[in-house]
Amino acid sequence: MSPRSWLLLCALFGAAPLAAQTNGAITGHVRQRTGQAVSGAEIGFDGRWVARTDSSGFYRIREARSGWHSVTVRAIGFDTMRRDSVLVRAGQVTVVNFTLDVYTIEQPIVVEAYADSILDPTMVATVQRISGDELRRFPVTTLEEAVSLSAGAVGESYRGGRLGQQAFVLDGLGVKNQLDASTGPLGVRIPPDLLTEASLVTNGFSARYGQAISGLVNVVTKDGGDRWTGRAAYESDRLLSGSADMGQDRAVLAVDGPLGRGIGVVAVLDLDGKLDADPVNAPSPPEARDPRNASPALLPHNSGERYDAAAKLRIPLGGAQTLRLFALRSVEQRLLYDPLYKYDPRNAPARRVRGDLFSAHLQRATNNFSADLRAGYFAREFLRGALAEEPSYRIGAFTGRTFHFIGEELARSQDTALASAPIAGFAAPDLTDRSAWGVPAFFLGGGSRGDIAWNHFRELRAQADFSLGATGADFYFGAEIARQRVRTFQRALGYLPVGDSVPPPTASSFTPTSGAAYFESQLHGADYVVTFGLRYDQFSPGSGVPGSTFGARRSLNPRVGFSTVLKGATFVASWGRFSQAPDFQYLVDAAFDDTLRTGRFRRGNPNLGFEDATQYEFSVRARPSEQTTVRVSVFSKRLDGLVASVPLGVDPDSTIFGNADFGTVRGAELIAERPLRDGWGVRVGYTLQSAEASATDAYQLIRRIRIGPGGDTINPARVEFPLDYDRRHSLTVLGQAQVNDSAGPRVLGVRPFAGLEAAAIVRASSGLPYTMTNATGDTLIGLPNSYRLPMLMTVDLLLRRPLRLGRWQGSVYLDARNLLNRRNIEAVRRESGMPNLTTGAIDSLAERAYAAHPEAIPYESPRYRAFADLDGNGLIEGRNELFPLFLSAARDYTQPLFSYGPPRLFRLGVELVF
Amino acid sequence: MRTRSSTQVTVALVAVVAACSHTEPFRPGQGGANEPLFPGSPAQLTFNPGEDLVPAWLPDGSAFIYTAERGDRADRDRCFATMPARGGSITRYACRTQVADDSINVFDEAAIRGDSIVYVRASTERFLQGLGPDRLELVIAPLSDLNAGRLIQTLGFTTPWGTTYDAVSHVTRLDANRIAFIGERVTYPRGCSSCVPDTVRTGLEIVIADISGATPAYTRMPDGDNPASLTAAANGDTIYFSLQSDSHVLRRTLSTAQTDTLLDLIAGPVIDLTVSSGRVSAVAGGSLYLVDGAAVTELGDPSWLFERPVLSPDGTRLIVTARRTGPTADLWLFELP
Repeated sequence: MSPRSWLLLCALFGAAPLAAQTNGAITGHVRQRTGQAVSGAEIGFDGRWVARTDSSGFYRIREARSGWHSVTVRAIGFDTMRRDSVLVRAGQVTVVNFTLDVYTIEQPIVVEAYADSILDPTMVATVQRISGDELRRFPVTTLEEAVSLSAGAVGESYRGGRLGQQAFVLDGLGVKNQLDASTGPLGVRIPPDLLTEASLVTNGFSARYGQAISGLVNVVTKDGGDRWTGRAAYESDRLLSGSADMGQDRAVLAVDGPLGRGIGVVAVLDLDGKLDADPVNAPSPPEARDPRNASPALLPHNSGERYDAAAKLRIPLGGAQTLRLFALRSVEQRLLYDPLYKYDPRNAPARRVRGDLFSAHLQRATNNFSADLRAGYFAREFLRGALAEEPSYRIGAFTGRTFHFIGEELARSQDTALASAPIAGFAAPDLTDRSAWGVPAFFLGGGSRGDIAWNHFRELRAQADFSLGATGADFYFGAEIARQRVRTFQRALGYLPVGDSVPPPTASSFTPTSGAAYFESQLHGADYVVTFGLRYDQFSPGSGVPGSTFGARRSLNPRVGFSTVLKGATFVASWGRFSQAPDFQYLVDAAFDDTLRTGRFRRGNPNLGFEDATQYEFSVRARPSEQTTVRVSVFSKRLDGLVASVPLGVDPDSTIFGNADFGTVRGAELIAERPLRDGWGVRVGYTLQSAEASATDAYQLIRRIRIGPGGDTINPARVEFPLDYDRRHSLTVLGQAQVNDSAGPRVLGVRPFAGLEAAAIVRASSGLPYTMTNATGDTLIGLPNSYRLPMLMTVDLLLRRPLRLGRWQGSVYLDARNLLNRRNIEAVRRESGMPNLTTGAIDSLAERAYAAHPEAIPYESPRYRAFADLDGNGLIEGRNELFPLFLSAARDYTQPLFSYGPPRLFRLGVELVF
Repeated sequence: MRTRSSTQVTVALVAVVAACSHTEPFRPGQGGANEPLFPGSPAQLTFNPGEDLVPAWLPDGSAFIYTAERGDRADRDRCFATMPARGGSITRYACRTQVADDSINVFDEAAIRGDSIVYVRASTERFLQGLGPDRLELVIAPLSDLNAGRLIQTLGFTTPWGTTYDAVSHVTRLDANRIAFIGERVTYPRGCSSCVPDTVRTGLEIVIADISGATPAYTRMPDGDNPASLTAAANGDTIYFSLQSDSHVLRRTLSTAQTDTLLDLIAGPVIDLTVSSGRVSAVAGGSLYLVDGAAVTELGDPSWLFERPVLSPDGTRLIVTARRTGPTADLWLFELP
């Protein structure tokens, strides 16, 4: 039998759980040098004796946590052998074989093979992973950025799904912003320094996990080690000048080590500040008097600061039991640039999101049975509105102060009666006189939009997972229950009393309950593995939602996987049904302001049900050479019950949310990889995808009414068009190279290129779809999303030069994003199909503004601009003098800033590892 | 050698990074002027096609407030505008409503003392205008927020001695709790049945009001019947006034209850006057005069129609409303020697 066959066989019988997201397994054989099996040998795992070899010398350590471990083998009459640095990856099998000599003083031979997820037939799930170390080596900063490098990902949208159709699993505990995941952030961020690894699972994920229909982001965090280590890093672009200085600062401090009695601790503090948290690569404005003309790079009132602090304790309780306590607080504060407030930015909106996550994990693991009890508390508060006072920066973009918003306390009290009157602190905005053009047009000042939006989501979750190993089969079962509390408040145009065009404030407070139970088994045949899982999901909005009549909603989700080993390749077929509860925000009413400053009232539907996806996939994984792997997957996903606004009666303006839309995503993914060896490595991911929506949206249907050949009115039942995240082609190339320590010429006693590391990410993708309208914007041209944005391309690069500082090691690095400074167009105007308005449209805007304010501007007015007073009579009057100002103001206002992606960004970093 | 070199480089790098500061985002430019368009004396301060009326100095003389008709608002409200003492751009508008609405609101007759202002506010339904304002009020407010005022008196009203005033004018602060004003009768006579009505305001009496309480206490000033103009000295004890069709400037000392004649501007009836730092300026016979001791100087172009002159607290600047060729008034600044 060839070594490869042995490997496969070992993997088959040492089957790991089906995408058991936190843990992996270690298997292997213990033999004498003669090839004879050593039976009854004890296997130690991180200092505990957990298994024995069977009569064939085979052993298996189940539920091994992702990360680095030590494995020891001892048997009477043989040398005791220990192997450190055994890497276990979540959901994979690591093979460690031992060959022992009898009564010998010679060095024993250890044969070790790392996980081969490519050929491992127990790996049914489609998993793309990145380790904490890789994340540090590549030009990515956050976990989200790292996951978005996966094939099939468009930002945080996976396989054509929209935002919020993914779930987040942290050390086996589900965490999801169930309130407004489709429009808002999760609220907590895992500092990358805390990661062991992160992976994106897009199909075949375990029945253990729900609340997602397009992807699962699985995160495994470190346990504290047995010696103190740490890392301190600071990166900034302060040294750069002009447009290259984008006001970025980031500091990281991470430590981990033992506290005694086997207790390990990990703590990370990650601070990130940017004077422009959403920089754009928009062209400079043509008008010389535009203040952005001289300094086009940084936008004012667009800064952001993030504070992430996390700590984790691992407490051994004796025997096979371990308690893990985890705490994370994330705070993000953003000032939001609003073109309307370009000349009075202090009245532009701001946002604050705070998330807290606490979890406890009690694990009892023996080699054939493991039990995991988890409890989690997740709270998230979101605020958006006008700031009560303008923040002042202390260091870079860091204010060090909590943002406070006008009407914040009123929002928290959810007092809709009091909020119906004008809210103290709000002032009505007016057309500002501070613009470069002076004229009363487009730009506002003196008061904010008058919005305050607040919501608070809290969840208590309890989760129990069990696994049972038997010969030829593994069984997994468990259940979870989550008690949630949702509170929301929204008020638009708060400087006006409610009435006429001002919608009433909305508030809600309710306590949904979600529950789930699952069973999963994996049966191992001679050359195949069959996995079957069944998950039951339930959610109930609770009694606090007015109009709720349906009670609990239920969903049953079977999942099946089959994999077998072909010659040099593994074939996997999987089918699964997935469901997730809708965003709770769609259950209740909402009031909000739109860009036209007309308050809107949106009616919720408390009787919404689950959103579902049914997906099947075929994949082939092969290893064409020892150092290269190839994965090809084809998939088809049927989305059903998607929340959409549906007709309520015959009035197209009268709609309500319903589980009415559906769609299909089909695609193929190709991933070829050569790991970093001999100084270089590369991974190429390509995705071909088609994501079509079938909509019953009221507005779309009314628009599609047509007269048939017989003169009958035909009301279409549905329309089909591309989904928002239908990116047809997507190519991601990750390359790494490393120079050895003695390479390069010596300059002044130093080899500047010695040990140099380089990592590059090249991304190229076809454009996302968009919808075109006529010039007035009130009529769609064609179906929604029937036009395409141009292709996007970026090249990111990280260069790192290791250093030694006394006893400490460290490095300096240069992180460059969008190295080619390509001006990527990420959005266009619907009426023009271009980032800019057409000249005619700008003229038209200017004409309308001039017609609204043709009055003369006297010298003493703050609106007076001497350059426009052509006759110098102290009055800007008449079309000749006034209209050019309106035209310039229109050009200024319509600058398509946010149509463009980020510019080239550099950061210089210093890192110390101790 | 290599270790030491690397250490030095790194330490130097950290020091340099820490010492640098970030590039600032762009900021909106500061528009507006800080001096008149054509500096000199007199200098035209306002070019507003609408009305600019009734200036009043801030106590420290750094700026003045006047009633400006807002041509840039659809409701053409008249708001208080604040302008630096030397002219230039308006630094602040204070209006009854932040944005145009369905009413015409007027702030008028500013009288400032300390950090408070007494003024008259009027409002009229914009699309169903009647004769005269729908609502007329005398209020006191902090200078920082003119809309946070306290109502002193709704106008018109009838005094304890039985006179009914439709409106008030020439409001003057005597001290923090006392004001003086001219109580007026307002009529709207028509030249013919189809003619546009005129507005005729007739001064009836000079009234002193104690506004410290919730309800003002009114006193009728003796010798002040049929007044044309009114101002007060900074000490709050002396009131200067003129009577209709009379060229004399009279002086009433409140503490002694004595009234005497300050001067006689023989050019014609005195319709407006101002006193500060020993100087008197008055509009008499349609012309503007400055009286400094025994010297009487005519200011400005005699063809202009002047109204409501006001001397700065130090007496070195005079701001006056003037109508030249057009129907609307602008403000002019005279730098006095």
